[in-house]
Amino acid sequence: MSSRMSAIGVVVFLFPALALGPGPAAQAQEVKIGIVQPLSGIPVIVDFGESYLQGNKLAVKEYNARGGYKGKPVQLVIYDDEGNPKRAVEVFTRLLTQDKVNVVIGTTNSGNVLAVMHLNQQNKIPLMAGPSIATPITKKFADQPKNYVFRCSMVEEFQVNALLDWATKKTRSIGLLHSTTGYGLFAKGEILKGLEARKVPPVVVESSNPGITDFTPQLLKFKEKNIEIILTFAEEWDIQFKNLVKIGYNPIMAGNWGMSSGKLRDIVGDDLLKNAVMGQALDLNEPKARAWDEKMRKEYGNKYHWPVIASFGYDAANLVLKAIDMAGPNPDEIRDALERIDNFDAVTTGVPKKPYAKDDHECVDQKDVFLGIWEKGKVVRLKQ
Amino acid sequence: MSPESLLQILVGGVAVGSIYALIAQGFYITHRTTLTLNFGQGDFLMLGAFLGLTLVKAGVPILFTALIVVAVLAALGVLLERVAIRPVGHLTLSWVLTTMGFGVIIQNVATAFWGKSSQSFPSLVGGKVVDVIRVAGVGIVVEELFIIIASILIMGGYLFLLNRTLTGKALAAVAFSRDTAALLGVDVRRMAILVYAIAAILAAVSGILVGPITSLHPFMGVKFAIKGFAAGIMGGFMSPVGIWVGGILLGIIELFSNLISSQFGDLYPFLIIILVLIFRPSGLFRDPTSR
Repeated sequence: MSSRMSAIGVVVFLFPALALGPGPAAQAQEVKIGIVQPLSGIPVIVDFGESYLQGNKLAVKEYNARGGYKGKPVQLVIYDDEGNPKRAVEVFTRLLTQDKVNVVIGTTNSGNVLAVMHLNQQNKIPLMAGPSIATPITKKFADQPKNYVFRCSMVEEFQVNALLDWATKKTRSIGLLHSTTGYGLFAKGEILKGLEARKVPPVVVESSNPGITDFTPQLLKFKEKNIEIILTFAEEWDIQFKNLVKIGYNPIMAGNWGMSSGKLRDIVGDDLLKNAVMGQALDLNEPKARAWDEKMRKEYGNKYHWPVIASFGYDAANLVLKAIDMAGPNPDEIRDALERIDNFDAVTTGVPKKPYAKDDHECVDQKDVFLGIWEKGKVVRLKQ
Repeated sequence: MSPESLLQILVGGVAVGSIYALIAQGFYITHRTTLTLNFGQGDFLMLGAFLGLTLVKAGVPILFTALIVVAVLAALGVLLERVAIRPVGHLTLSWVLTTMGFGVIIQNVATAFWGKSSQSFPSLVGGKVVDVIRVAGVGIVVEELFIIIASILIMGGYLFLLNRTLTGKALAAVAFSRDTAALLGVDVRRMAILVYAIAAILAAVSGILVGPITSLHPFMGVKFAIKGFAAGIMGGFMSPVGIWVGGILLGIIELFSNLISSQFGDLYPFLIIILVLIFRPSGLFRDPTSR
C-alpha cells in the first residue's frame, strides 16, 4: 500500500559540494533538517503538508545553491506522519534520536504537534511548527527557561479574530458551520468565545460529520434565518458552494485560510468564490509576493496551488537556515539564534523583520493577519 | 421549516439515496449469484469517475466517455472475478480480503496517476460548475436528476433481466444451486463473470454521474461503498426493488437526520438500520425464511 507507506527520503543537494570541491568545506559539520508532514491520507491534509513542504524545499535548494552551510549542502530528512498522532510520535522520535537532526520542521495536524513537541523540548532540539494553527502550540513551554517550540504559520486565534472583527461590524446575522473533527470542534470553541466577547451570538450553529455528501439541510437552516455571513469551518467547501447554488442562496462564506487553496478554485470556479472571505497572511497584489509566486510556479508547475501555505513553508525554512548561519549546527544555539533574528526578509506579507522574541515564538502577530478574497484567480487583501 | 425547504431536503435525500442504491445494486447482483461481493466496489466507482474526468478533459464527448469507461470497468470486473474471486471460491471468506486488496490496488494506482488531491469533474451538460433545474422553488442539480433516473432504469433493467430473460433464469439457477445449475447446462463460471462485469458497469455509471456533484479523490469510494452496503442490508439483498427502496430510504433518513441534529447526522441512519435489523434481521424486503 505504497500511498500509506512512509515516504522516507533523504534529499541531498549535491551540486554546491561538487562545485566547490574538497577543502575547508569538507571539514564543516553536516547539518540535517528533519521535516515531518502528512504526505498520504486525507486529501486536504495532504495538500497542506505538500504545499508547506514545497516552500521548505525551494528555500533549502536556494540555500544550497548559494553554497550551503560552510560549503556543505544542508540535508533534508523527510518523513510522512500520515496525519496520525501515533505515527508522528514514531517519526519525531526517530528524527531526534536516530537521525540526529539539528532542527525539525512540521507538521500539519495541530493534534500531532501537541503530541510530539515535548520530545523536542526534552531533547533540546528546536521545532519549527507549521502549518499547524492551533493557538496553544507555542505557549505550552513558554514558562520554561528555554522554549524550543517556534511556529511559522497562521494562528487560529488571529484569523478567527480578524474574521469576527470584520463580520460583527458588517452584520449581526451570523451563522456558524463547523465539522465534528478535532479541528472543527476547536474552531467552534474559539469562534463562540470570540462572538460572545463581541456580544454578537451566532443565530444558527450547525455541524457536519467527516465525509458528508450533502450540506443541503444545514444550509437551508441558515437560509431560513436569513443568515448573511456563514462562518464555515467545515472542510468540504466545494460541496457547500455547489449546494448553495442548488438551493438558490447567496450568503458570504467566511472561513479559514484553507479557502485560499487553488484546488478549491479549480473545483468550484471563480464565480462561486465571489462571496468567499478567508483568513490570510499573503497578499499576491504585493510585488515581492507576486515575484515569489512566479518563482514557485516555475519550480513546481501545476503541482503548486496553495501560495500562502507554501510561503509560510518557505519562510520557515529560511528562518531555520538563517539561524544555522548565525549559530552553527548546535541545536541549542539554533534555538537561541531564532529568537535573535532581525531584519528577516520574509515572503509572507504578515511575517515581520523580527519574527521572534523570548516570549513570542509566533512568526505572525494579530496585526499581521488580514482577510483575503479571490480576485482574478489570486487571493488578495480584502479592502475594509 | 417551510414546506419548500422540506421538499428540497426530500429531493436531496432521494438523489443521495439513488447513489447508494446504484452501489448496492452492484453488491446485490454478485451476492445473489455467487454469494460473494466486491468490497472494492467504491474504488471501482472512484476509478470510473477519474477515467471519465480524464477523457472529458481530453475533449472526448460525454457519451463516448461513458462507453469507454463502461468498457474498461467491465473488463476490470472480469479481471476481478478471475483473480480475486474464482481462485478463493465462495466457501471461505477469503474473497473479502482479495476484493478489498483489489480495491486498495486501484486506490494506489489512482493516487499514482491522478495524485492525492481532490479534483473536480465538470458538469455533464453545459459549461457551468453546477447546472440546476428549479421546479416550484426546489432546485435539483442535473446530475442528481440523472442519478435518480439511472437508479430507476437500472432497477427496471434488473427486473427485466432477472425475470424475463434466459440469462436471468440461469443466474437464478446458479443462485439456487451452482451444482444443479451446472448439471442443467448453465455455464456457472460465465455467469459469475457476467455478474461481476455488470457490477463494475454500475460502478462506472455511478462514478461518471457522481463526479460532478462531489469532489474526486482516490479514497472517495469508501464512504459510498459503506453507505451502499448499508442500503443493501436495509433492503434485504433480496430484490432490485428492495435494494432501491433501501437506498432511497437511507438517503432520505440521512438528510433529515442532518436537519434534526447535524451533529449526529451519521448516527441516526445507522441507528435506524440497527433497529430494522433487530425487528427484521433479513432486511425490509426479504422473506425471513429465505436463504
